[in-house]
Amino acid sequence: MVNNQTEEKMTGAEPLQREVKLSVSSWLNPVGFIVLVVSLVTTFFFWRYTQNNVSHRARLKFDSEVSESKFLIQQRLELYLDALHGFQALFAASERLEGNAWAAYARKMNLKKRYPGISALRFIERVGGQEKSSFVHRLRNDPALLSPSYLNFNIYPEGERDEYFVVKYVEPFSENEKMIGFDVGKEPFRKAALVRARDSGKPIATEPIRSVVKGQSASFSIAIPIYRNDRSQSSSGERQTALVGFVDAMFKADDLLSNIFAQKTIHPHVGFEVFDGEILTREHLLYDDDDELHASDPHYRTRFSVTIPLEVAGHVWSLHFSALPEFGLGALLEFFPLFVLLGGLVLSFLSFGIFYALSISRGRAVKLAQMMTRDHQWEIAERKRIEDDLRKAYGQTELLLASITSILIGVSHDGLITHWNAVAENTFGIPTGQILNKPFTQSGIKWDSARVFSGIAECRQRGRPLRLDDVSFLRANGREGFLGITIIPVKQSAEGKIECVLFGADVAERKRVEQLKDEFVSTVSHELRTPLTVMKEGVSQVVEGILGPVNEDQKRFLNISLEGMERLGRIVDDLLDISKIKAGKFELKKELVDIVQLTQEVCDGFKRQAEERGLKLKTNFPEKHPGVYVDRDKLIQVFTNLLSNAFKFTVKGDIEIEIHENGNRVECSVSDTGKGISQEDLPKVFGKFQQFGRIAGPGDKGTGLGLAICKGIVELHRGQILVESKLGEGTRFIFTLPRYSARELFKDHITKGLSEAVKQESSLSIIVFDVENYDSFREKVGEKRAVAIVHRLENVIKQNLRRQADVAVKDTSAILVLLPAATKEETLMVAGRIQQAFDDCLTREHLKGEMRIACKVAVFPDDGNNEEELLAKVEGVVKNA
Amino acid sequence: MPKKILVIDDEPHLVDVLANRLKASGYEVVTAVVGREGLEKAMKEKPGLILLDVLMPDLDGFQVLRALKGAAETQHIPVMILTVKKWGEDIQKMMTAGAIGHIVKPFDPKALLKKIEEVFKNEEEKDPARRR
Repeated sequence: MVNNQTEEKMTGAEPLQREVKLSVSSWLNPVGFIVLVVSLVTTFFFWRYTQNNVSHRARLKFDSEVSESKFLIQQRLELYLDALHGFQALFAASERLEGNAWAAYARKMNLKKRYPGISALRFIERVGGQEKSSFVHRLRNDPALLSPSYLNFNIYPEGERDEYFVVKYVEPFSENEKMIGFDVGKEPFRKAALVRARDSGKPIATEPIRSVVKGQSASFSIAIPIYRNDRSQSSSGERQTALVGFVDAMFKADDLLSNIFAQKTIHPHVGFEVFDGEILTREHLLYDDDDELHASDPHYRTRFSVTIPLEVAGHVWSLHFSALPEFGLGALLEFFPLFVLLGGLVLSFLSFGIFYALSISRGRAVKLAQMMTRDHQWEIAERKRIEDDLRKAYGQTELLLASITSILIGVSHDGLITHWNAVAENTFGIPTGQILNKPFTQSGIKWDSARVFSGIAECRQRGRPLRLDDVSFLRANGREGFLGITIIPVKQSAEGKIECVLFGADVAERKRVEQLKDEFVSTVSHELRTPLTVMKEGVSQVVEGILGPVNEDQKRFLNISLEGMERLGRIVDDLLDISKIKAGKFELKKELVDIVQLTQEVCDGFKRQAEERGLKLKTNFPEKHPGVYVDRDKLIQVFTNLLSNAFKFTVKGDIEIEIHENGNRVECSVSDTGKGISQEDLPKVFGKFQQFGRIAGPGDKGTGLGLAICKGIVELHRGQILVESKLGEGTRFIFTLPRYSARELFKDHITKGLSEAVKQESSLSIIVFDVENYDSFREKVGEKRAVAIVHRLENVIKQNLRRQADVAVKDTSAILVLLPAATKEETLMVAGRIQQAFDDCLTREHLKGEMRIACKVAVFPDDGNNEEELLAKVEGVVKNA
Repeated sequence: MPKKILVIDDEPHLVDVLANRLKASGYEVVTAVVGREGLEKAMKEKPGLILLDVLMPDLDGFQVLRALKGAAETQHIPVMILTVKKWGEDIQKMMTAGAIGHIVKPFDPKALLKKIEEVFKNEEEKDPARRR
């Protein structure tokens, strides 16, 4: 059954794996894609946004670069023009401008340093056609102008013209000396510029002049007109007449413009080109910061470019700015949109991947869960089924246990109560809930715990069931009862832990029946006695002839009747004895008995019978007669029974009685050479009404109870009885009795006194008188006298005891006195009185001082609760004999 | 004058045979089968010995004995107990209450007669004046 289930379970795992595989293909889950699309859109949006942002910021940066550059150029040009205006002012201040003053002023300007880009600064004088020779003459002879150029001064190129624009002074002089005397008006583009300047009164720049030498930059010049002070200059005609000349600065475009950007600390990665006029071709190029021309190159792709017109001294320039490939906001900022894009893409796909994986694993989990649920459902169902089975079985067990009318107690291997049935509940009055799982030893069950615990221990040790009979206990209602307990060991596991199950049956009923039976037997026996007496008496009187003459035949038959009546009487006696023994009512009147002497007396009673039967009655007694503390009559009964038996079954041979001491016991045996008892019958010998096998010899018929009574009597004396026998060879009965000791004797009496005291709820006083020097005293006065003196002391005590209940018990050298219901004071008074009486007595006997008599007193319950404690109190006095 | 014995026992047959036995042995016998009757007869007859059964229906042996010992006329009369028990608490009780001995039923006639003889002999020794 169980095996099948496990197989089913095993096969149940297969479809589980298949289902998991299926679940992988059904991964489609919209969530992952929604997330992907949303994140991609978001990424795109952010990418565009950041891109625009970065582009916008780059544009701003570019624009700011451009405007800054333009501003710098303008500023620089303004500065230069201002310098030229300074010359205007200089000429206005002096009537005639001398060569020295010009030179001094120009040098002070420190052209190279402060006005870089100005390659030459010239003063150009207008010379009329008629004034040519005088002008030449004046210059050649001017004492201030000593340079060879002036000494051999001439206007060149040669020729006669209406007016000349002659370079008169130039700075820096040494590099530009050859310009002196040059008629600038001879060059048309220069002349045009000069004329415009003359007519407008404003500084005017010439068109740039491209150098034919490669690598040489373009140059241009700006001229500012100088007028005579006393003439009006409001119109162009007036300006023509008032004109003196021009101050003209010659610029090299490269030097001028590169210098402007040299002032900027960071290269802005902006390409810068300057064109003359509005046409952005190489022909018009004034300045290029690199050698590549960007402005007019259609293949050149740039992020930003701008062309700004700039008016420079009446001339228009085009400033062209273009962003170089390097231009930007820095790598970090420039690549930020890319980062955004890439990051967004990565994130998108990552989250998609995560959702994808999640959806897969979720799907799988769901499938798994479904599978497991299915599996679990199966398992749960199976479990339920098993549980049901178990419950059913348990129910059956419970039913079985409940139907048990015995007490049932389970005790686990570690001593806890595991089971406690309703019968136990009712019997002990302890509810199950209160006692379950409690240590058995602390269960609070009121019973003979010592017996039960040792029984359990023994049962565990042996591993075999054990029976305890008549275990006393207290019922729930407080009444005493008896239990028959069977302890069964149950091995729990391989570890050898043993649980014990106790079945207990209240044997009160059985006990009661037994008691009834005993009472019945006792009553019947008693009731039998009276009619038996009547019959016996009547027949006896007839036999005796009291009622008239009886003939021999009549006499014989009447005697047979009498014999039967005798036997009936004996049976009644034995039945009574047995029922008393069983009921524990067989009271012993114990006393110190010389067992040898007693046995001898019994033997004497059988002597005649032995002689008549031709049997040898032998005795084997020890020299020193051991004392026993027994009921004399009962012990005689035992010996009589055993001897009767021996005689009954022995036809010839010996009957021997042996007595010897064995430690603290006395061993007695009765052996015969009779028929013997078979091995099978031996165990039944001491049973009731056992008459088997043995053919009775002549003599009184037995009752079948003799040996049972013997056993009972011996055991009541705390002895043991055994039988040994061999069929055809003989039988031997051996019984032992405890050897007499004063302690034993006294203890016995104290026990009796105590039970009475407890019953009466009163006290019990114990006085012990002990002749301490008895041995030496006996030697001195002789055995006989010593015994007599002690006997006399006993009598002295008896005379001093006034109450009936008081008891005096004499051992050889000690006397125990029991005083029921006496206080300690009273006891001490009695003891004192007795000691006084001893003294008187010994004085009369002339033995004063010869005997040392110790006296000790113990009172129950003050000095002890049981005989042992009380005895311990008087211990020094009562020694083991 | 023969010695007078009062037998008190609730068993008439026993009383019969016992009386016959005692008479055969030369005693004068008075009988009673219930306790009360026994007490009355003890007062009236003034026997030298009373044989008293213990278990009786109206007044039991102990009560009769106490009554006998409590009355001046009868307290000196020796009482022997007739019982089916060899020993027991009730016997002990009656012995203390003043019985001089006890006879166990079924009894051996010779032993019984011997005991009775002894009682009378003792009584004579104790108080010769009382002899009638």
